[in-house]
Amino acid sequence: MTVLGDRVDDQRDLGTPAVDADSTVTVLIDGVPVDVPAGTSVMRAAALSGTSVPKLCATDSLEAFGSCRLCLVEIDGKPGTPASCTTPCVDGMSVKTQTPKLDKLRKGVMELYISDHPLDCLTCPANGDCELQDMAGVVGLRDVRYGMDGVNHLDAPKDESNPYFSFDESKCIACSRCVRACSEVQGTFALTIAGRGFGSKVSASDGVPFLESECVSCGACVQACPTATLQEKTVIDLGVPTRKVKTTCAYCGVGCSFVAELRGDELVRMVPDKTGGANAGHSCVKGRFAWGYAGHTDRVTEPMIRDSIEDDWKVVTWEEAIAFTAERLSSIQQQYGTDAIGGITSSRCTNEEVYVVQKMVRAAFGTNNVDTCARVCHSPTGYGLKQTFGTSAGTQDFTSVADADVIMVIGANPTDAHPVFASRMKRRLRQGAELIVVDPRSIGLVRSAHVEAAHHLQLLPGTNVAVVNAISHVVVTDGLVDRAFVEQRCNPESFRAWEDFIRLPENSPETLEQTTGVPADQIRAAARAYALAPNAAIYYGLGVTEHSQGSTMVMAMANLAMATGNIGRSGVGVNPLRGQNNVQGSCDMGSFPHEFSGYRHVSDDTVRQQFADLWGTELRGDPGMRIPNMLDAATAGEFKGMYIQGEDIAQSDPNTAHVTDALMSMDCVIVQDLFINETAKFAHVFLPGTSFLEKDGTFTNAERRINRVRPVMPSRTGMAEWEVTCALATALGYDMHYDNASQIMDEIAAVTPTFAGVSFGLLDDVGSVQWPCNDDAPQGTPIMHVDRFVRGEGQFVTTPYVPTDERSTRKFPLLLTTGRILSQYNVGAQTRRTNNVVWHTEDVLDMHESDAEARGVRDGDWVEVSSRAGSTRLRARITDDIPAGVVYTTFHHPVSGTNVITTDSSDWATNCPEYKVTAVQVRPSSQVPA
Amino acid sequence: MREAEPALTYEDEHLIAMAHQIAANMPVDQAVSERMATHLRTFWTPVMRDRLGTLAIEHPDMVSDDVRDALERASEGARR
Repeated sequence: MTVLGDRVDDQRDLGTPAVDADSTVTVLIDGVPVDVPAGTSVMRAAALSGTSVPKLCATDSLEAFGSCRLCLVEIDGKPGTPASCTTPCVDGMSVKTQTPKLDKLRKGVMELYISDHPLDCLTCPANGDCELQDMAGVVGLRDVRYGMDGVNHLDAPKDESNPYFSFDESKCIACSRCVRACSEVQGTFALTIAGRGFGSKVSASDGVPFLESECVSCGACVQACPTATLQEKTVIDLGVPTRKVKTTCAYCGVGCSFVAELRGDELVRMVPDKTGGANAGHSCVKGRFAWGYAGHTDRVTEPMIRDSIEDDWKVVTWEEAIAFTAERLSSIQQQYGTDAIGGITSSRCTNEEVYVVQKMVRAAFGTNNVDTCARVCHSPTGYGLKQTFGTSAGTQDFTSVADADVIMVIGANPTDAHPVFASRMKRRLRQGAELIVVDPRSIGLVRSAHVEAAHHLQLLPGTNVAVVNAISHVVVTDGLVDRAFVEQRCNPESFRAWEDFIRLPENSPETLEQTTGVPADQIRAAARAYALAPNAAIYYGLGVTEHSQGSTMVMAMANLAMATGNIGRSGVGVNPLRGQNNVQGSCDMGSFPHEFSGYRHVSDDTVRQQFADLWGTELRGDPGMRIPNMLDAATAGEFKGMYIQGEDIAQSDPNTAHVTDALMSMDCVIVQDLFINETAKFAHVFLPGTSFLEKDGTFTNAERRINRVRPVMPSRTGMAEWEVTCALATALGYDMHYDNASQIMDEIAAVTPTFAGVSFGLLDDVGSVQWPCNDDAPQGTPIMHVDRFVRGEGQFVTTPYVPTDERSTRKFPLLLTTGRILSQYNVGAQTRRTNNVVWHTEDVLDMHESDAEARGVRDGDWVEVSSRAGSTRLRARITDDIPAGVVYTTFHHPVSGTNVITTDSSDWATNCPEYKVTAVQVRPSSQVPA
Repeated sequence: MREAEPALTYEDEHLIAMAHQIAANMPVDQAVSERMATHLRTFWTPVMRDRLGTLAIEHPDMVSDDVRDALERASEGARR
């Protein structure tokens, strides 16, 4: 079946993984010579030569196993019939894959398999997509001499507990592909083969239903299964797909490539793309299965308007909605001035959609009041990495982690928030890389199957900078600075100033022990492990950025990486794990109020003139307002209109009371989204948005990889989101038109040096590229700062530790920190409308048992959580995953009102909210939330 | 004296707090006011800078010398 967007043979299974070798060998496969890397299996060499060897237990995403005995071959000069999957090629080897002897052996093996397999092919959900069925045909099996009446597994029960796939044991051939996928690919080790011989069977955990096991529903086992044993329920319900489109997931910043498989316009399943640069054929429960929200009955597909938020919504045509919106915005500007309106772009939208929104704000609104949801997540990354390295992006590609010897994970929980990358990381950890975790919580990586952190620096929330300063202090005072790297690559004055600062006794682990809560010897051990490793890499998340010192912390990590020479090659770097799928892209596209696309300041006359010439209008050279500035201006009565693209600031932004006050102060709030979200309750215009399955454009992931998002099905609203934006800009008097999304990318490339070589045509040809992609790097740039930093010399910045004002007091003695879990995503607008709710029906408050006991709180009790901003109620869960004095919750359910209690405390440089530290009190509550 | 000063709104308090937070977090090896001036020019709207300037006059005790100096430098830079 042709895959739209696929290149030739992209999805072909070569049986065993590719081998990375310096030398090649030549073998003869059925007389045909083929050159392969040394160590390549005979099975793979045969596939590369154009011959396919029958197989069942082999697939090229897994190491060879040699159990099915179907891939037997004959090798000249060698006795017997070895399995081709486990036999490496030797130079000069001559292999026969088709002989009468092999035919007989294979047919005999297949006979045994089929004698214990239901003969229900015509009614089986995998009919036409079953490797067992295919192989029976390939070996020419016509009958089964043993009959079907012997002892068998045909009455084995089905496990239907998982909401997304069924496990039909009667169809299992015990090939172990699912078990190996769970171990090798996902790294969870939830599955095993229980029993011996004829009693062997696949078992989830210790023989419990899948839903009750450690299974994380990544789908790797389903993907690996050669039969219908593990089968998507949508395939069982809808049938085998008839067409395929390659596209990109819309959840986290890993940005996995998928093949969407459909029958007509009905999506049947999402299959991870084995050629995907970010995911290489792997997936998580969200991307693989949680796409049903796109067709949820809550979707609003027609525009709606209302004069007042007290009124009911009125469904109108697109023309009426656009005219109403334009008239409102124009009258606001006439009454309150040009800067009384602005817009917010979304990291859930494509680069093209984001670009046209910021263009509309700058060119049609005539203001730079445009910001993006990255404000509340990774804006400190942009600031910190630009100051030190010269550009606002992570340094590596994901594959780089395979070369890391020490991995430092700071303020990130990859197994939950970036699970596909976490699987890559765990693979490297299983190979022996040393792990340092810097986190108040015992996240999954600290101790899980075959992974254990050598160092867990369990710091107090809000002390990141103190910890990294202490680590750097050890690096400097122990003489572990990579002097050669610093002298060759970094600004000498800045290094001297930093070295003098970091050497101060106030930055020593011993001095800071009381502040951070981390014993000095642990800091020293971790510092030495990081600095002495041949390759040491830092991966970080919102636990770094969402602090009052988020930007300082990013610079502190950059200092550490430069001081130890861990920049500019594979296996090292400073790597932000982005929260949403297109955070990187939305920032790249000029969504910040002070920058055009490519991170160029609006006050740069040359750059601004380039945009002005292309856009045909004068542009402002002064920075616009950020989201919190806009909200403050709204409550002050000076800001009256806001265009909100795909965001739910009433749920996701801190201090909900202030956000809703601001929204209620405005005369025109425009929400463009899939659902009536919390923010839409305060809106005057609702413009229905499109799901990622309907979008045409690109996403840019955390490794700067630009991936195509292809329309899998027609827009349910009748318009692309960028068309709506263009229509509004035009109605405001600024003519904005494109024939298609490809034209928008062409314009982006024309005005953005780092995107100069990017086009839909290039992406269709090569799959994906990582920016910078231009004349200097026509195929993109997997690793940055290789020979020189983007800014020239690396810039050290002194990073004084300034405690947050948000600290525990007698009134609010506990520190609340927030995060997300595997099955849910952000405010849950998408995942709550899928079967993922079975894993997370409500947000709960994690408490240490000593804090719970002191308050008379038992596991499962309702508690009131209050801060200086507000209070909410949650159910308590007693756990030792967090230290005493710290409580933790998620923000996936609006009823939880988690952000009712977070405050307006924010990062000093970027105003990124300090979600990770809120002083709270917890009390038992007899009231249950409505 | 302080009773006679205009009352601060939430937004004004927030603006003053942000400015002092910036000053407190400036790298230690450089003059705070100079670096902070660059920061204000780069990231703050003219309206926000003007408002902070007004607050510095109306509430002199609430705005530090470093912030005041940074504002002056930012204004000079903007004029240039």
